[in-house]
Formats: sequence, structure tokens, C-alpha cells
Amino acid sequence: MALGELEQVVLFALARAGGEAHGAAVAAELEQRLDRVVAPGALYTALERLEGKGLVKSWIGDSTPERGGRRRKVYRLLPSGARAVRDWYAALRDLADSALPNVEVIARGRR
Amino acid sequence: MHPAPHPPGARKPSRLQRFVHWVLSRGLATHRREFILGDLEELYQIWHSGHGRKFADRRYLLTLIKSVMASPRGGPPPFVPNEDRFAKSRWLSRDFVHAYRRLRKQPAFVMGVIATFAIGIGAAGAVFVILNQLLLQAIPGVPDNGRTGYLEFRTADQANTGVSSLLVAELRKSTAVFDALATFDYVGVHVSEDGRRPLDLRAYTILGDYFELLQVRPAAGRLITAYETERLGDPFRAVISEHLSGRLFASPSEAVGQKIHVNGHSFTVLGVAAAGFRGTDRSWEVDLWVPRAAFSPLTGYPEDRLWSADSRMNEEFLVRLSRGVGFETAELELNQLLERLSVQDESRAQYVGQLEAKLHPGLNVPVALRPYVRPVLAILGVAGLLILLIPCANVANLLVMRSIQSRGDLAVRRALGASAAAVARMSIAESILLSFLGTVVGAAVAWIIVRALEGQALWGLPALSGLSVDWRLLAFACSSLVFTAVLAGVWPTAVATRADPAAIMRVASHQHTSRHGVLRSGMAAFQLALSLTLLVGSTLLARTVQNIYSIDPGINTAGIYITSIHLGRALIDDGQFVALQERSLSAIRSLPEVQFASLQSFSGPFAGALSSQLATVGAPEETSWTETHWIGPQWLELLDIQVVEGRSFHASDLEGPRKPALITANLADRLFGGAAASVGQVLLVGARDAEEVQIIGVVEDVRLTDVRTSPAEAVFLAYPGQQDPVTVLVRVDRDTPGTAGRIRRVLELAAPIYPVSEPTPLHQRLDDQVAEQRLLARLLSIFSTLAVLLAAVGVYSVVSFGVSSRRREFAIRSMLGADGRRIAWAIVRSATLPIALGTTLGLAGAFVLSELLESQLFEVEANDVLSYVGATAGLVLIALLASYIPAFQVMRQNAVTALKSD
Repeated sequence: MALGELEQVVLFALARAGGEAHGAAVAAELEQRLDRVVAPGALYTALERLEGKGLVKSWIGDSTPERGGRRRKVYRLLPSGARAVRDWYAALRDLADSALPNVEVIARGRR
Repeated sequence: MHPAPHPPGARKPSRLQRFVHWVLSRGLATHRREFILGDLEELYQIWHSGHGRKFADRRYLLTLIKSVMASPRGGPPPFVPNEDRFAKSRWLSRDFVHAYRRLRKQPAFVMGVIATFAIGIGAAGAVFVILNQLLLQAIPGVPDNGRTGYLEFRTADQANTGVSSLLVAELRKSTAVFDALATFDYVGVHVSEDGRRPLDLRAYTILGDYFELLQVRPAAGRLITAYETERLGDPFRAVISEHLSGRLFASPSEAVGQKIHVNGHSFTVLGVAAAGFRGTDRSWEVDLWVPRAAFSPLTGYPEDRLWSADSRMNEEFLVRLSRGVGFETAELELNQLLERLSVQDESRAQYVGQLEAKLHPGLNVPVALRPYVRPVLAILGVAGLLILLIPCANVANLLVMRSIQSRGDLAVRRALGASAAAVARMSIAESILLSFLGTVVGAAVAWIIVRALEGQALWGLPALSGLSVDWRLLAFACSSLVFTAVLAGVWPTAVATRADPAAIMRVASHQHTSRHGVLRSGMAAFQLALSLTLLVGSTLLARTVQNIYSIDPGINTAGIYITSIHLGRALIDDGQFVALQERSLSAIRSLPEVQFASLQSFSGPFAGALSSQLATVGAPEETSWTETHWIGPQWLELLDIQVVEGRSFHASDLEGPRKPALITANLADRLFGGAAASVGQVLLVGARDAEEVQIIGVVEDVRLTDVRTSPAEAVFLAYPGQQDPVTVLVRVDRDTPGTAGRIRRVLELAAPIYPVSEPTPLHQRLDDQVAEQRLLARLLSIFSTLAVLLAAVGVYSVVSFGVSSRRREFAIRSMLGADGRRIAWAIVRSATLPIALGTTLGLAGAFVLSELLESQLFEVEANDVLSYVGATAGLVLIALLASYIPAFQVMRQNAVTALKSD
């Protein structure tokens, strides 16, 4: 199954959080790990797409004072999602491994 | 939007920032907005702790903008499993569902609020419908265009006066402020169709644009035009009412073109007036309208005097103003016109120059009745307002107490993160739901009461018909209560939500702050004050009615019927008249239940009396107007009037040189210094060609006209004084339901060609004199009863709430050995402050209301101490009883159970 770049990192972030996290936790993880600010709007678009593909599942959590009394939407990584990101990452790694020597050469400016 | 307590690093934006963020957040997809904003709050704290406030603010704004740009348009994606079903719905419907669930668990509270709404809206609405029907309802068949009214003329001493037909005609053509002007005058007539017994009816002779001004439409045929009412028109034309057409003909259309006999003259029916129209005075319904020129043939009044310049025939006027002209402007111009006319013609300068024109807007209430109707309306308006305020206070009290009881629940919600706005929305939803239910029930109660009153004749008044709920008044009542409910439901919640939830939760859920206790006690006092105001008013009126009924009129009204045979204006010769008298009396006395029967001129007791100028022979120039009654044989015995000196009439008295007379004791005292000195004296009766009468006896003082006044001086002369009507009085020894019908039948047989009115009990005339006070007394008593009940409920709820919040304390005191009665007394004592405050305010309010009532009172002062003390004592007793009930419950409670249940 093809996954977009944001979808991949979101799935990895969910996995890193123990398989379950809400939007702010995923955004904080991405910002910390990738030094990349992902707007929650974009994040939820990706999560909803993943949910449509059946790779994650969501439910409404409790409200907290830190959120101004608002509820959180929690996403859980499903086994299908874990398999998808694993397979996609495996295919990417194979491609990267095979292309890495050439990447090194090109990076040094030699041919 | 800050939850309490504030977490470290929580966003604290300025107002401008909050506004900008709010605007931007509207661009987020609805199904994500809550979650995104919540995530941003969390991220803000991370940015704040890592990089400071400015960084966090900037990052928050940028991320929000990016989220808006990344938000899809349209609704949520179709695959949204496990979504809370209320997340899709708007918060508004969620709040109402929640409110419904909470209210469903408290049926007693809900029923209490709905019942209060029902009383406030239903009772007040129904009473206003009755008032509208009795006092203010539009005249049937007459549309109200806001430009019609009455015109009257007054002399320099403000006495009402008539004017000549010539002046009326001159006014019509000389001023542009009216586009219609008409005058009408009453005349009693006998109307019959060929071969039928005549009917005794009322008619108007009209002059001018009468029907056109009132915009009355014909039910059949056509109506009399202004030209036809003039002197030169054919006077023998008539318009009849639909009511009369039903009595004489099969249908209105059959009446058109038919001949009817009116006082012996043949009139052609031009048409039938619109259904329900019977003149502009609901208390004086007419069935026939004829041109003014018919007045002379109908009454025998000289025709040349009818149209002369010094005639004072025309006393009642209807006007319709021209468009764009106000009543004040028209009145000013009319008076200026009168001044110009008086200057132009010196011959009538003295007469016209003294006239003052006065305009009265509206036709619903005749001019003569307005001084009486206005105070009644003012009194009932105030009472109606009070009866609406009391449920408002009661509803407010109930909702405030409930809000206070729910403070713990609200604090928990706030602690879990719910915003103050969300909590307030819940209270608003509950108040609106309760208001909606209460309004529906109240409107239904008002409708049911109105339907039940349809066709009923209340307290001797005309039957109520065509009743309809006035939706404007109902809307006013509903909006008052809804406003009160929303305010009472939201305000204490808003106050509570501003406080620290933790602090609230530390306080026991049933304890209350002193501030709220003062508020509740204040409202209970307010209800008590309003109730006492109404109660004092109804007590004063009840005593008035009682005082009037307790008056001894000096005659025994039990078992007496009174009826009249109407001969019409055309007189009959003496022989026929005497034969009619003898036949009538003989017919009446043939009934086995009849004890006495007699005759009297004019209308009889309690229905007005004629007056004559009276003087003594020794001082003929010292005249006084004195009530004069022409009475037949057995009249005194029939009414049980005692002769204190001398004797009553004998048949032989009529053959003497002077006619005999009886006078009342008070007249004897004034003229001759006592009853004994009066017998044998001679009086002069009448203004012109005074007749000498000799006093043969003195009777005790009696009230024969208005029982509310002192016994009037009166002179009694031997019957007859005039021929029409022949008033017959009958005393029966046993009054049965068919008595009136039997009396009427025998009289109709004795006088087959004359109308006989329905015999009525004499005491009914007495009741009519107090009808107004009786109506007011009964309405105010209903109001005050409802008010007292609601006030008692208010006191009970305040004390009960206070008791429940101190239940633990009472239980502990009881376990320590405190006497239950002392605890109960302490509870009752807690209610004394609102009772005392309410009583004080109520007495002040009662004093103000009694000023309005003063014109309606009889033999009781507006500040009558007994009434005030009695009403106050009654209300205080009921309030103390209401406060004793929760005290009694505390006395009976098991202390251990009470502690365990806390």
C-alpha cells in the first residue's frame, strides 16, 4: 500500500508513542524528532486518510484543563497499519540500500 | 476560555488575540475544530515552556493559520467510526438533551414550576379575557378604525346639555375636522307585525351619518342614509336588528320591504343591520332605528319644537374624524367654531357662547359609563399585574434554589474542564425548556378556562359569548415569565461559575451562602407583600358588598315579583285604563300563591323614581324636588312599610276635595317638625299648576331607589300618576321555579294587546346595584387566594431549603438532647424576617391600592383598620403555618437516618 511521506512519519510517531496517541502528542513528537512543525490541520488530514485506509482507529477521549476543557481525539495504530508502514519502510530501505553507494558518489561530486 | 486552576504555561491571550483566534478558528472544519484547538493549547504550553511567551504566541498563530489552510471544505469524511453521536450535533441540541435528562429526574420540581406558570399565565389570561368582554370589547358589527368617538356638549358649569338639530346641521357643514357626524336619541316603542302581540323594545331616532359613520353593513336590504334622516325625508322607514328580524320574520331577507307597526304607525323595513349590531351601548341594546323626523309621531312631541333653534333634543353624538386629524385638534377647532357662531348670531350668542365641546375617543365604552369604568379597569389592571408578578417571583425562587443546590455538580464540571459558557448554557437550556413547557400548559389552561366560560352568565352579568384568548396579553404574560425563568436560572449559575470550583466542592453541597439566603428570603417577602396588597383590597371590597347587602332598605323584598304592562305613548281613555287595572289585579290574585298584588306608576323600587317640586301652603315659594311615587291599594302592605302616624289610603279618599298623600318621616320632620304635626297638612305638588294634596299619614323612612344612599324624602300619592307603564307588584307566599311564568301568562291574558315584561324578583334589582362591587370583590378574592397560595409555597420553599441545608446540624443537636419543639421554633423563627418584611411592604402597597379602590367602597374607609388587621393576621398565620411544615418534618425525622443520608 502506498503511503505518503507525512503518513509514514505519523505512523512511526504513533508506534513510538506505544501505538496510541492524540494529535498534539504526534505533533510534539514530530517536532522534536524531525524538527518539523506540522500543523494539526494537516496532521488530522493525514490521520483521517489513514483511518480511511483502515490503518488506524480513532475515538474521542476526555477533556482536560490543559486543553481548555476540550476533548482529545486519540488514534491507535492498527496491526494493518503497523504492517503497512513496516512493509513500506522495508521496500524503502531496500531501495535506499541499493542506491546508497551511488548516492555517496554523487554526493562527493564524482562519477 | 481559561479553565481553573490555570496550568503552568497556559495561554493567556489578550482580547484582540482572542478575537483574532476566534475568527480564524471559524475556518477550521467543524468536526475537527475542538480537537485542533485543544491540541494547540497543549502545544502552546510546550512552546511556552521551551521558548517563552512571545515565541509561543507567534507559533500558535502561525500553526492555527496553517491548520485553517489545511482544513478540508465540507463535512467530515464518511468513515468516522466510534464518533460520539453528539459530536456531530451542535452544542445547542446537546445541552437541551442534557437538560431534559436532568429535569426528568426531578418531577416534583418540574411540576411546581409548570404549575406556577399555569397559574400566572392561565388565570391572568382568562381574567383579562373576561375584562375585555365585559368592558372593552369592540361593538359587534362596528370595525374600529381609531378615528371614531363620542362628542358631548357641556354648559359653563360642566353639566351635559343637548343642542338643537339646526346647530348640528351647521356644525356638519362648517367644519372639516369630521368626515361624519351623527346624533341619536332613545325612544321606547311597541313593535308588532300584523296580528301579533306587540313587543316592548328600544329604538333610536337618528340624524346624520349614523350607519355610514359606524361602517355597519346591512345583513339584508339597505340602511337609512343621512338624507333620509333629515326633516324632509319620509319618516316612516325603519332599520331593524337581526335579533328583531328573527322574532318577527323567518329570516332577515324576508323582513325587507315588510310593514311593521311601531306605536300604532306603519313603518316600512328598509333593511336589517349586521349580525350582532344593537347600537353602541352594550348595556342598552336597541332593535330599531328610525329617522329623527319620526320622533314626533312616535311620541306625540310637537314637530315644530323638534326642529326649533332652542331645542335641546340632541344630546348624544357620534363622530368620525377626517384622516390626519387628531382628537385634540378637532376638539380645539370645534370650540373655536362655536365661538365664531356665537359672535355671528347675537340671538343665540348667550346659548352657543356657553357651550363647550368635548370629544371622547373610542366607541367601546359610552361616555356616561367612563367615569365608572376607568377606576374599575385601573383596579383590575393593577391586580392582574400583581397576579403575574407573584408567579414570576415564585419561579425565580424555585430556580435560584435549584441552581444553588446544583453548585457542587457545576463545580465538578468546571474542574473537569468545562468552560463557564458551557455550564451557563446548560442552565439556560433548563430554564428555556421549563419555560416552554410552562408556557404551553399555561396557554392551554387559559384556553380551557375561556371555553368553560363561554355562554356562562357570571354573577348576574350578561352571558359571555364569542370569547377568544387575547394573544397579545398571553404573549405579555408568557414573555414575563420566560424572562424571569431565564434570568433566575442563569444568574446564580454565572455567579457560581466565576468562583473557584475547588472551593465550592469543599463546601457541603446543601449549604448556602448568606448572600443567596438573603435573595431567597427577599423574594419570599416580595411575594408576601404582593399577596397582602391583594388580600387587603379584596377584604375592603368584600366588606363593601357585605355592608350594602346588610342595609335595611325599609322594605321586605322576599317573595316579591315585579313586572310591567307597556301601553305605549298613546294614551287610552280613563274607562279603559281602569278596566285594565281591574283585570290585571284580578288575574294576578287568582293565582293561589299570591298574598298581595298592587300597582305603581313608573318603574317601581330600585329602578329610579320620578321627582316633583314640593312646597307647603304656608311657604309656596320654598320648593324642593322630592321623590314622588304613585301607589295602588295594598302597596304598603305588600312591601311591609309601616305607617307610623295617621293611616293609609282608602278608596273613599279619592272622592274628597283634595287628593290624599303619605309622606316619609324624614320629610315630616323637615317640613312640620314631626309626624304627628304633619297629618292634616296640605302640600303643593308640581311646578306649574301645582296640585294641593292633603297628608293623611306618615310612613317610616325607606330606601326606594339607591340602597347605598340615605333614605330619601318621599311623597306617596294615590295611583295612577301616569299610565305607561303599568307596574305590577306581586308578593307570593311560596316562590317556585314556575312562579314568574304563571304571573306573566295571567297578565298577558288580561292585557292581550300590550307587551308584558318578564317578571323579575325584586331582590335582583338590589343585586344589580351592587353588581360592580360584587364583580370586583370576587375577582380580587380569586386573585388574592391564588396570591396567598403562591406566597405560602414561596415561604415553605425558602424555609424548607434552609432546613435541608442545616439537616446535619439539627440531627446532631437532636442527638445531643435538644428538644424537638425548640428546634422547630428556631426554624419557624427563621421565617419571621421575610414575613415581617413582606407584611410591611404589603401594608404600604395596600395603602396605595386602597386609594384606587376608594370610589368603589361603601361605609368602609380606604384605610379601615379592621380590614388591614384581619388581612395581615390571616396572611401571617398562613405564612407561619407554611414555615411550620418543614419544622414539623424535622421534629419527626430520625437523627441517625438524617446523618447517614447526608
